[in-house]
Amino acid sequence: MRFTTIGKGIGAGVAAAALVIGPGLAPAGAPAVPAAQAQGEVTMRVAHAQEIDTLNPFTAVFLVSTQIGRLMYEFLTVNSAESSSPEPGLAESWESSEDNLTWTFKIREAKWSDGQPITAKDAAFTYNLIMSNEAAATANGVAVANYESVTATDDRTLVIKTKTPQASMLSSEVPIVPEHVWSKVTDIEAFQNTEAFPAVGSGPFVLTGYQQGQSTTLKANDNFWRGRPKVDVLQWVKYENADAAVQGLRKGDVDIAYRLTPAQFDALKSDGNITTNDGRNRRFTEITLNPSNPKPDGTVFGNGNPVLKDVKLRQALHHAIDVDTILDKVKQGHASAATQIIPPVYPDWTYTPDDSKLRKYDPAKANALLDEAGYARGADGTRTDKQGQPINLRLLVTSDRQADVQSAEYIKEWFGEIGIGVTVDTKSSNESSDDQNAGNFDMAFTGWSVGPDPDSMLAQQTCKVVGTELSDSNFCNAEYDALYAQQLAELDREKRKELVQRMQEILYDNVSAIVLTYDNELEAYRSDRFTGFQKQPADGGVITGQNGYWGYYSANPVTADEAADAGEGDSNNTVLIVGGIVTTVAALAVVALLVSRRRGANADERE
Amino acid sequence: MTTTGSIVWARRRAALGASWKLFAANRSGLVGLGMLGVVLVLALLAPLLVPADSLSVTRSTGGVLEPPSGEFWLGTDENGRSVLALTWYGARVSLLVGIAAALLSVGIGTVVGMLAAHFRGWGSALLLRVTDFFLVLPSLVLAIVLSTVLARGLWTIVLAIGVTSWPSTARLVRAQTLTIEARPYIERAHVLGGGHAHILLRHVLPAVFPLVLANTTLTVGSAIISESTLAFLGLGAPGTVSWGGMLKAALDTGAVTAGAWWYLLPPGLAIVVVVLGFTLAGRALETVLNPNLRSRR
Amino acid sequence: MVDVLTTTDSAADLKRGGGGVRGGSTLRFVAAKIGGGLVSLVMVVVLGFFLFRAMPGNPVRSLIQDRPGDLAQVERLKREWSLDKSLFAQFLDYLADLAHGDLGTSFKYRQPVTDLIWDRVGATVLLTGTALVLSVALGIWLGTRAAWRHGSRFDQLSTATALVLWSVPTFWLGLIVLIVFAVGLDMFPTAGMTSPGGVDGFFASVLDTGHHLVLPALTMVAVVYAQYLMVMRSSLLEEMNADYLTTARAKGLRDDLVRSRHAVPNALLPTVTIIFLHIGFLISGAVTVEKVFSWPGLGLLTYEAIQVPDYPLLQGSLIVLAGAVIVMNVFADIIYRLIDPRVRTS
Repeated sequence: MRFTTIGKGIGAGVAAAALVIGPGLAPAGAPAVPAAQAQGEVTMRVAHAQEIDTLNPFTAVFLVSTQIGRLMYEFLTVNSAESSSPEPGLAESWESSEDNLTWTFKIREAKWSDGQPITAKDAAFTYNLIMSNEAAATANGVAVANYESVTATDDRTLVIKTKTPQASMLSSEVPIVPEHVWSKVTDIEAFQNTEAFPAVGSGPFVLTGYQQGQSTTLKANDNFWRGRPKVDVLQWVKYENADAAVQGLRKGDVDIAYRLTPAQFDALKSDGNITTNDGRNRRFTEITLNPSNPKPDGTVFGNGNPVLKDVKLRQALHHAIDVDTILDKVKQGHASAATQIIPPVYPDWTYTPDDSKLRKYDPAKANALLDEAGYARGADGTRTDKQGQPINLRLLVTSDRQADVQSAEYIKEWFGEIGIGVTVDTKSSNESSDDQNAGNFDMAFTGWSVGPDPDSMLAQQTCKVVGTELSDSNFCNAEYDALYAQQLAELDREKRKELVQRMQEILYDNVSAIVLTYDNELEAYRSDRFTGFQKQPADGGVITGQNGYWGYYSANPVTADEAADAGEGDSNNTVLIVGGIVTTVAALAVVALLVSRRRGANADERE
Repeated sequence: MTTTGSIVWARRRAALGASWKLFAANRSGLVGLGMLGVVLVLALLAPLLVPADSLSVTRSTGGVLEPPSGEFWLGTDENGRSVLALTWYGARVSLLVGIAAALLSVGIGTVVGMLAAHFRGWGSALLLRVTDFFLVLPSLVLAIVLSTVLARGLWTIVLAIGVTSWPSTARLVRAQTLTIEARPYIERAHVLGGGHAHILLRHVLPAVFPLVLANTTLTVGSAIISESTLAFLGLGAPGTVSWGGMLKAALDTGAVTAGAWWYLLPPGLAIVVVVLGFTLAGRALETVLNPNLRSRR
Repeated sequence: MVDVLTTTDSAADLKRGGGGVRGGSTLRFVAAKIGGGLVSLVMVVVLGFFLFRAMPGNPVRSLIQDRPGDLAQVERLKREWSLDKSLFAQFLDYLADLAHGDLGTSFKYRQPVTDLIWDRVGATVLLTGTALVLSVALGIWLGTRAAWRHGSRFDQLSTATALVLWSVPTFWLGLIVLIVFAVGLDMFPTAGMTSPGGVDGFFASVLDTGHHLVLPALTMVAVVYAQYLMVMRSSLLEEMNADYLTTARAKGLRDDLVRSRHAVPNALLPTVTIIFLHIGFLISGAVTVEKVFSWPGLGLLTYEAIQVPDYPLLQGSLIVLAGAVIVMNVFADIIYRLIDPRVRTS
C-alpha cells in the first residue's frame, strides 16, 4: 500500500522500460529497504522543509532540531499533552523551599538507552556544564541564567538553588544528557552528536543515523521510562520542495507532512488513505507598530512615523482591520481571531479582553477616534498629522510569508478608508529583519511561536530589550516592567496567571501591536499506516511541532487487515496533471515538428 | 562631409535591406519573429484588453484555484484572480526585464570588449582580468547576492542579471574588434589622425554591431529564463506579476498538490514560447550576419 | 547564469578573446595562465568577504528567533562570531585563517566549513558530472549525426527538439518531470540522493543512489545538451566544407573514415572548449534542480546559507565554486593550446 492506484496500473505497464532506467522498481515504486530496518520493523517517516542545524542538544536552536531533541533526551519536567502545564518527566516529584529559592527534585528510577541508570548526577552534570561552558549555553543558557548552584545530594536527589525566585523553573526544557558519555566530550562547540551511533539518550527514541541535508534516523528506546514506543523507527526526511513532500505523502514515501498550505490541505482531504489535521497551534501573526521608543541608554533610533506614538491612532488602526475577512480570504478558515501574544492553547496564560474593551472591526469608530485626536482629513481624503503633513505609513512585509503579503493588500485598502495612506514594503526576510532591528519601519508583519512558559514572550516587551535583536515591538512601559519582575518571582500558578493576564491587558490597552490571528498548523498523515496520535493540546491540537513528544510517542501502526479496510487512494489530481502535461507535450511536439520543417526548408535553401 | 556621410548611410541602408531579405528567407527565424511579434503586441495591449482590476487581490471575483471555466478560461490562482489575465500581464514584466537585462549585459560587454581590444597596456590588461574574474564567479550565486544587497524591485533584477552575464559578450566583442582593427582601413584612419573615439565609434562599432545585435537577441531569451529562476528562488520583484513569480506562487501555495495544472502550465509555456522565439530569431540573425562579417575579413 | 546558445564561431572567438598571451614558449604560456588564475582566486577571496557582509540580514537574529534568548546570549554569539570586531579586524582574521587552510566554522551548523563543503561536494559532482557526461555524449552524438545528414528529417527533428528543450526553465521542467515520473508513474522517489537512512550493502546502495539520480540528471541533461549539439553540428558542418576533406574524399577515402578520422576530431575542439567554459555554470546553476529534487548539493547549501546569512559558509563555498571554475578554465586554456595546431603556430 505504498503506492497510489494509478502508480500500480501504469507502473506495471512501464516496468519493463523502467528496469532499464532505474533499479529498485520491483514492484514499481517500492523503496529499497533502508539500512537499520530489519524485517517487520515499522518505520514512520516525517517530511520536513525546515533545516536542521545540529543535533547537539546544547547548541541546536532550530525548531526541527529541538523537536528531534525532545525525542532523544527527557527533561526533568515535561509539558502535558492536555494544556502544556508541567508534569513529571525524569523528576517524579519536586518541591520548593519557603523562600522559593531552593528546588528539590526527586529523580525517578530509569535507565539510559545503553542500560546505565539515570541519576541525579547526570542532571547536575548537565546543568553545571551549561552554567560553566559558554558553548554549552548556546541553546539553553537562558534557562539557567538565574541559577546559583545545581548539586546532586545523592543518586535520586537534585537540588537547584536560584538567585531570585524563578516561576518558569518547571518549564525550562533542558535536555538531560548522560554524564558517562558527555564527560568525554572535550569540545562542546564542535561536537555534532553524530560522531557515534546510537547516541545514548533517555527519550522515547534514540538517534541512530544522520545524513546531513537528507535524513535523520531514530529507533525506539527499549529503556524509555514510559515504555517503548510502538513505532520502531522514526525518520525525518528533508524536502526542499514543499509540494514534493506532499506528493511523497500521497505516494507513501513519507507518512506525515506538516506546514501545509490551505490548497494542499484541502486537496489532501479527498484522499482516503490520508487524514488531515487542522490543529490549534502556538503561533500567532501580528502587526507591530513602531512606537519610536529610545533604547535603555537613551539613544533614539530608527525612522518610525511619530504619529504612531499616539494611542488613539493605534486604536483606530486596530478598529479599521476586518479580521474576519483575513480569516476567511487569506487564512481560508485555518486560523482564529487573536487578541494578545499568548495563544489560547495555553489556557492558563492567554488573555481575553472583556466585551467592553474588545476592539472590533468598526471603521466608524476608527474615524471617530481619529477625528477626536485631531487628525483632520485633507483635500484628497488623507488625514494629516499635527504638522499638517498627510499621514502615510509604511507596512513592512516579508516576501516569503505569502499570507502576510496577501493580508497587506487588504490592510492597505482598509486604512485608506479611514484616511491613512499605506505603502506596502515587501522585503526579503533578511532585509525586513534588518529594518525591524534598526527601527526603520512604521508597521511590520511578524509572528512568533510561543513556548509553554509565558516568560520569554513577555520578556520581549520589556524596556531593557528595546532596540536589540530580542525586542518584539520596542514596547516600553514602567508598570508592565514592574509586573514582569513580579510574575517571574510568583511561584503560585494562580497568582501568576493574574499577573500575566494583567500584563497582556496593558499591552492590549496600549496597542503595543495589533495581534491579528492565531494560526493553525495544517498537518496530514497516512491514516492507513498510523493512527492514535496524541494531540497537544488534546482538544484539537497539533501532532507535529508540539512542546513534547506525545504525537510521535503515541503513534500506533495500523495492522495489515485494518489497512485493507481503509479506502483506496484517490488520485484525481494526479491524473489531471499528468493528462494536462501529456497534452502539452503533444502540443509541443507538433510545434517542434512545424519548426523543424521550416528549419529544414531553410537549411535546404542554404545549401 | 555631409555627402560622404549620406553615401555611407545609403550603403548601410542597402546592406540592411539585403540582410532583411536573407533573414526573410530563413523561415525558422521568421517563425521566431512572428512568435515574438504576437507576444509583444499582446503585452503592449494588455492594459487595454485586460481590466486592471483583474490583478487586484482584494477585488478578485473568482474562488481559490478554480479550474478553467467559461468565465476564467485558464482558471484562477490562490487569490481568485484569472490566470489568463496574470499570464497576459506577466508578459510585460518578463519581456521588460529580459530586454533591459540583455541590453545592459550586452552594453557592458561591448564597451569592455572594444576598449580591451583597442587599447594596449595596463588598462586593457586590467579589463581583461576583470572579465576573466567575472567569468569564473558562479553567476547565479552572484545574482542572488546582488538581488538581496540592493532594494527589491524590477531594476534590481535587471541589474543582477545584466551585471553577471556580460563577460562572454565582452570576450566575443574583443575578438571581433581585434580582427577588425587589423584591417588596413583602420590603420589608414589612424594615420589620417582619427582619434580613439573616432575609430571606435565610426569604424569599430558599426563593424561589430551585427555580432552584438545577434548576441543581444540570444541573450534576451536567457535573461528571461534567469528572471524566472530568480523569482523561483524567491528573489523576484514584489508587487509585480511575472511568469517566474507566478510559478513561485503556484509552488508556494501547493498548486501541484491541488492538481492546478492550469496554474502551472501557462506561465511555463509562455516562457518557452518567448525564449524559443528569441533563440530562433537570434540564430537566424547570426546566420544572416555572419557571412557578411566573413566576407569582409 | 545567463547561458547564451553559442555557435562555433563564437566558441572559437570566445577562446581567442580570452587569450592575452600569444606566441612565446608553451612554458611561459602555462605560467601566465596559472598566474592569471591565481589573481582571480585572490580577487574571489577578497570579494567573498565584503560582498556577503554587504548583504542585509542579521545572523544573530536569524539564529535566536526560535529559542528564548537573553541579552547575554546575543553578546555571546556576537563575540563568538567576531561580529563585535571592526570589519577590518574581521577581514584580517579571515585572511589569517585562510592562510592556514581554515575556512572557519559555520554559524548555522557549528561545523568546520571545510567539512560541510566536503560532505556536499560528492553530491554535486555526482549530479553535475553525470549530467555533463550524458549531455556531452548525447550532444556530440546527435550533433555529429545531424551534421552528417544535414537537412534530413533527423537533423530537423533533433535540432528543433534541442532548441525547444533549451528554452525551458530548468526548475519548471524538473517539476513536471517530478510530477509525471515520480508521482504519476511512481517510478522514482520524490526527494533526496539516497533512501532515508541509506541502504545496506555496496551494490544495493549504488543502485539506490542511481535510482534517485535519474530524474535530476535527466532534467539537467535535457536543458544542457542542446548547447553541445548545436556547437558540434555547426562546427562539423564547417569542417565538412573544408578543403582537406574534399581532398581526402578525392583520394578515395571512404566517407565514414573521413568523418571519424578527420572531420569529427577537428570539430570536437570548439565543443570541448564550450564544455569546459560551461562547467562553472553547470555547478552553480544546479541549485534549482537541487531544490526541486531535494538533492543535497553544494548549490543548495550556499543558497540556504544566504538566508542566515552564514558568512563563513558563504565565503567558503564561493571560494570552492569559483576555484573549481578557475582550475577548469586554466586547464581548458592549456589543453586548447596543446591540441589546436592553429593556436600553437600563431
